[in-house]
Amino acid sequence: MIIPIISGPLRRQAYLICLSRIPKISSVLRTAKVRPGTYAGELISNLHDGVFHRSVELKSDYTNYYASEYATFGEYASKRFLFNNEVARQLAALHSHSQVIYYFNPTYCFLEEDYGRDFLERLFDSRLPK
Amino acid sequence: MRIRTGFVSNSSSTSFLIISKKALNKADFFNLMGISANSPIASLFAGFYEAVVDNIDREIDFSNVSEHFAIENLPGMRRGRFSDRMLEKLRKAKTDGLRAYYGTLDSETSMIQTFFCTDSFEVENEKIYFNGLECVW
Repeated sequence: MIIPIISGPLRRQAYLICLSRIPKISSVLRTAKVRPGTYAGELISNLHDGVFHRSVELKSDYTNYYASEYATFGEYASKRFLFNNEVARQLAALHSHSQVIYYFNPTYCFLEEDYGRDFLERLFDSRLPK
Repeated sequence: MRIRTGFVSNSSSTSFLIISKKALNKADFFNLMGISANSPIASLFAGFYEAVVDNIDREIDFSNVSEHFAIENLPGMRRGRFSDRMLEKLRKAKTDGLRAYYGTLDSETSMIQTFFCTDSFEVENEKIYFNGLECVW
């Protein structure tokens, strides 16, 4: 599941990407139907890196660093990141069903609003938590 | 003195040069970019292709120009601001009788055009050369 949020003082578009497993880059390139080593291939590879290597993974961040400070994952989400109650509630519900939850701040400007969410869902959402 | 506390951003534009063996078409463009027509994210590159086609300022079919035609005098080009690489590509296109297209992308249009306008890349295959590296005219 992909949850769009507005993040930070500049109110930038961000996403919480909740997946049952981390997709391999080869799998994402196949899903996108792009060839490795091409412009489109590099674009999707960079996006994969941006999500799975340069974003905070909230479940491990909570377990490793914040579990002693916040009693629940929902509390961590709302107090550490100031997510609103609805988002914190959604995250708390998804916590046990998702293997990973990435807090992704996109650098590609086309990943905005409905188009951006749809784009990410087309790449990653076949791995929705059950 | 005025102090602005909000966002300040400049608009941007960048030129592109395309050299192709035959008339530019979507299938060859997609193949150059490395994406299938039935990709679930094809709309991104379809938007890019449309932006390119809509913003071509000039098309030159070098198979129809005189051998005395001077690349440096092409309309819209400011002499002395071209990279040697681009000039060389154009000279070779003329020698080989290829087609060249050049134009400008603008960051104040769609998000898709903005993205490709602000990216910097050069790609080439056996059919098309696309230079999106430089802002030269």
